[in-house]
Amino acid sequence: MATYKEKVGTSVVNFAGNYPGVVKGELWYDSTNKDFKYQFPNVSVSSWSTGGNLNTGRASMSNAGTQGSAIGAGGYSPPGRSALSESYNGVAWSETADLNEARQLSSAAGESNTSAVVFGGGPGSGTTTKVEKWNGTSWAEVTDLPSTRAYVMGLGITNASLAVGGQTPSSSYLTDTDLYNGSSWTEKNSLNTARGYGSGVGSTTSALASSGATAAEPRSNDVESYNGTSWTAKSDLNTGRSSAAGSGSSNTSAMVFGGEPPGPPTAATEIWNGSTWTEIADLSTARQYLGGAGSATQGLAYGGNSGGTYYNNTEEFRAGGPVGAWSTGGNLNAARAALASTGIQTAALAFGGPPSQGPALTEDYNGTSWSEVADLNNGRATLGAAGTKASALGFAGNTSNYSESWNETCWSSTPTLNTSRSYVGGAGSSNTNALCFGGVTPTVTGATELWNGTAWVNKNSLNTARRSMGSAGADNESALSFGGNSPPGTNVKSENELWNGSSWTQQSPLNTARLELAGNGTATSALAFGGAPGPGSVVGLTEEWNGVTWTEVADLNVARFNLAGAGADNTDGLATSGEGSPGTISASTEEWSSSSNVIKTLTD
Amino acid sequence: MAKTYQYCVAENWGKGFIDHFESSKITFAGYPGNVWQVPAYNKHGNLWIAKVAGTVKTKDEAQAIVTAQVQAAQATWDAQTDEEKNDPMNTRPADITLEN
Repeated sequence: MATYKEKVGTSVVNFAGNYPGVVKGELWYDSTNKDFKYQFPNVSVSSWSTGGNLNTGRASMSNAGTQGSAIGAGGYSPPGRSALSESYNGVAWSETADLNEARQLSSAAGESNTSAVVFGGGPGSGTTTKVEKWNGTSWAEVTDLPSTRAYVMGLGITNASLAVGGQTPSSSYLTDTDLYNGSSWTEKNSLNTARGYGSGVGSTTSALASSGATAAEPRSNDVESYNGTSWTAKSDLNTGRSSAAGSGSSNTSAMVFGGEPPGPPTAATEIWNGSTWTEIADLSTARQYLGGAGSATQGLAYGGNSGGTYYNNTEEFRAGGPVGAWSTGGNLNAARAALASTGIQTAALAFGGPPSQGPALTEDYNGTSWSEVADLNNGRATLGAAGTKASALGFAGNTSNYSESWNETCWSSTPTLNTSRSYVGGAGSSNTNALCFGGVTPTVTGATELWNGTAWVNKNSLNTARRSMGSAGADNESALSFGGNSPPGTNVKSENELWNGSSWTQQSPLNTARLELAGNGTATSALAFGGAPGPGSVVGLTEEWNGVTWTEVADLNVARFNLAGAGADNTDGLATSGEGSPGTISASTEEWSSSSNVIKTLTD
Repeated sequence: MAKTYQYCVAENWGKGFIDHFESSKITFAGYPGNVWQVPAYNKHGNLWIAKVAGTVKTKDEAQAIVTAQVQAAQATWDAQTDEEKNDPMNTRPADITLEN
């Protein structure tokens, strides 16, 4: 029998502990623990989880949006068709203004729960050409479809959408493809195979039409791809079906789930990578005529029916992938809480702290160890930070209006904030570009000030005044503020607001409300970690922001609050110091990696 | 014959009823009447039933709940007019058979 060396090309390495140079699948001998070990990448599997329930269970709605921002309009549940419209914010469905016309089997396109268009619907003599547009507040009738049809595949965004295929009032299937530009419809090249009851996803320049019913096959597995000009046949679905739902962004990234194959409704989910369909995690509840929205990595399934039950169930799909993890970095020289930090994982700056812990101390990090550098001029805790290791700004703290600029060598005072405060949020790119928001004055405030390198300028306040929140942002025109609290009482917040340079708007909230947490990254790619969900509790919870929703990922190894966060985005985070339990200050630094490995021990 | 699945009745409260970790570990199947199927003899299935305070049912008990739901829906469908029955969306609810 071949030896390990003959098969692998190397001898088994003898190493005291976990061997850092190991490659995927390589075996080594841990001489400390007297174990043979191997390592492989840690990945999660794709899965569906339950989301908030629709207020009214129904099937055959018009569906549009994303996993964190979707609509479901119209539909059917006994005794008949519905004009109900509901809006999903990633957590719960809420009823909105009704459609002008009750309808089922209609289609929709749209980018969010504030922008969508619904067209057609039926069936039979009730089939319509009517089109309604949603602006987040009300439905308005707009230009009719060129032809009367139901069971259409709708895709795209509100003012750039396609109505594909469908069925006439006399039950003939259609190949029609019509483009809506926000004001009128234009006929485009037709499908190769006439069909209705199908799933359409993508955009007006890159779309996919799959499954449905054709004249030859009532449970079709046909797939066609659109490139903005014409439709081309592609590889078939594994399971032919009609009245399925879909999600996806293009003709190379799509998903089909549920529907009616021959037999009872299915829970089967298939994902498309541009060339093949692969079966992945099933829905928890098999159903047909369900709604679909979102992408192939973050899909949304809602409503539908099976066995006479009209479901209000919502399910959220998360694609599998690398599993992130925190690992320990170099400890701060001086452990302290309520400090500030900025920069990236391999080049960061941490400064400030309480009077007893070195309030003026500044340390810089090179990815391995922290070194003390020049002190702040005004030592303080609960301050905000912006910029990089080479060009930073520290502001507010200890209910002051201090603002100091770091030039890689020393701190110098700048013009002060307009509002003195502490426990603020901060974002920005350098010592000439920063944003300070929220905090306590000592009353809680949502005040926002923008630093332009010369002066702090008052801007529109947060919608929810808060202190001790997490923050992220690449510059003073793009920032995120999440969590925090708003006394009186603990009143812990999960609110998440996005700054666009002029105003704040509410986004999908954190999964876990908490205060004195840390954050890093940008407005579209961030991490939130640590914090206190309530009095006497402390967590290492980490959530990842992708610009739409927060997803829980791996916890910090040391749960703490009043810690500092730095890092470029949700793949590059740095957690520094903080308070593990009241009175216990940690000097530990942890580094976030968006991928991690699992080490296994060989057993008998 | 050893059973493959176990059943419980639990009301889906929405977000968090089934989370991604649970969904990645076991396969769920929901049926009319708030009946849920999870693998038998499975730690993750048992933990999930405990989390949702599910009322464990034998396969026969679960089948009876599902069948009652389906039969009620079938009776409602049968009582409809021919015009209503001809609505292609409004197909007669099919029987559901649970697996052992």
